[in-house]
Amino acid sequence: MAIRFEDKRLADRVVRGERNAAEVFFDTYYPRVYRFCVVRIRDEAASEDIAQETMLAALKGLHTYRGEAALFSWLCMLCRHEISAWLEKQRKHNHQHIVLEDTEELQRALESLNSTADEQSRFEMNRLIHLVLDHLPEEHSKMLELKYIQGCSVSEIAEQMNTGQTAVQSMLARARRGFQSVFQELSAEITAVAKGTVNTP
Amino acid sequence: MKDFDDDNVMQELFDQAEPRMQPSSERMKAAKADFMKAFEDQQPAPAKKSLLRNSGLAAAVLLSVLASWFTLQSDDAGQELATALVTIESMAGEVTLNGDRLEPTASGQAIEYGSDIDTGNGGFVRIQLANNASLRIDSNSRVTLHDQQLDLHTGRVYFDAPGTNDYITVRAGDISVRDIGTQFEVRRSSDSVTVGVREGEVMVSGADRTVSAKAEPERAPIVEIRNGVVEEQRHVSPRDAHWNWIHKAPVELELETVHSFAELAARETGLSLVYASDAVRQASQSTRLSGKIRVDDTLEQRIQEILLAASFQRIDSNQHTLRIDFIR
Repeated sequence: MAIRFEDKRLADRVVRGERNAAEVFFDTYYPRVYRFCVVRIRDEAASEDIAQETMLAALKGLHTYRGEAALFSWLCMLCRHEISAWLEKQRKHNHQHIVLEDTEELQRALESLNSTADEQSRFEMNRLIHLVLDHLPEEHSKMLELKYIQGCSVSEIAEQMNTGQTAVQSMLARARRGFQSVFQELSAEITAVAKGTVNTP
Repeated sequence: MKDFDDDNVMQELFDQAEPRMQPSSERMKAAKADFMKAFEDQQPAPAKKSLLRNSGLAAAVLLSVLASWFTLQSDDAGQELATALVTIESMAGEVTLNGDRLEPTASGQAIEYGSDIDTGNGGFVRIQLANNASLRIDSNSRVTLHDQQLDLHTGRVYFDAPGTNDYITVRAGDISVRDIGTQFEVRRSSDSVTVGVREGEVMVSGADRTVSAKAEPERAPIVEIRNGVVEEQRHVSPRDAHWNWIHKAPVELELETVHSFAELAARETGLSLVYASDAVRQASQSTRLSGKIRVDDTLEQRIQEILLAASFQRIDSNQHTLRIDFIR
């Protein structure tokens, strides 16, 4: 069993009461947990609440994290529990939801909104890229986003990240290698899930 | 499999992506405030608990707390609270920690930030830092270790910080050296500071300007600075005997996968790691190894033996590369 040393050390530092580490932990993972949540329940305000509950639950249970999975994967597991609890509450308080979806008129409207295969594939790739970025160190994912999504030049990134251009180029090379590694890992995992050879992660 | 090291391939892929969604900054600020409050509330107050549990000790504990409080108030306001976060991996010869001589069996001992470490003649210590980074301190050195910063008073230190998020800064008098995820050494003598970059890049800052020292393939820069001015820059190979001192005290590390072993071996020996194909790389990442590897100056000679045991092999086209393939 491989241990995620960097994640384990951050967790240990928080558990030992290091304030800086707690801030890094929150700043790094709150937005990621929020994104994990929002693509599942499509409710931004509720996702912010659920992400917060997840982070508080993580704080209480961080001493049990053993580094056997990535810290983000561990947080996703906690977040799934919070999402289930939220959905359960929603079901109790919003019976109308099911009735409305059953109407023929609404069903047709929903079907008209169905995306084409190309759009679906693009949507899935968008989600996969976001998932891979969320598995990378914050600095690397931020740099890749600036370069390839926002189209910033190396000099603009250097300015934004308060470092030199050669440093940015060096870090970009590392970030690309990291991206490739996680992309391959997650793609293989998703393919295995689709083929039913492993359980859903 | 596509090569994401190619800028165009990455751009083509990312053209299908939008910026990641972010929580609102106001909401995030509020959530962080709640989180940090919960964090503070969670911190134990051992002195208070002792008082409640055992009234007989109350007076002694109270005196102790007051004494600690008084000491903190009288100290420099910037002084950090000592927290054990790093450990000694191996050592040799005479090493003292906060003035106390360490026994050769000190491996695994925790070191608190703010500690002073001295090495005498023939002394050497290897320390495991956060984020998988490693610090080696050479003979006749004196340092003070802080979180992500080291004050080098005299002597020589070496950092290996592979792909970490946390930067390390070495302060040597007026000169500061900041790593950018790399392997580098800093030596301070009475009249100069020398910085050697074995891999990656560091930023060297003097009183009025910052310069970059960057390693190129087979060219590790050694920069000598006197009175804040770069006086000399030469180059050595990352495999030059210049770096041999970092192995003065061997350490035994747990093996994980063929890939992690190859990365470790490459970093320790100054070799460039290359895989014969993506398939070999992927297989190396999923092939587990068990046991320990002794990291010393004979490591390179044992690379092939370990790879062969896992059905891989080293197929070098030149002596500077660790090129790995399957056994064909």
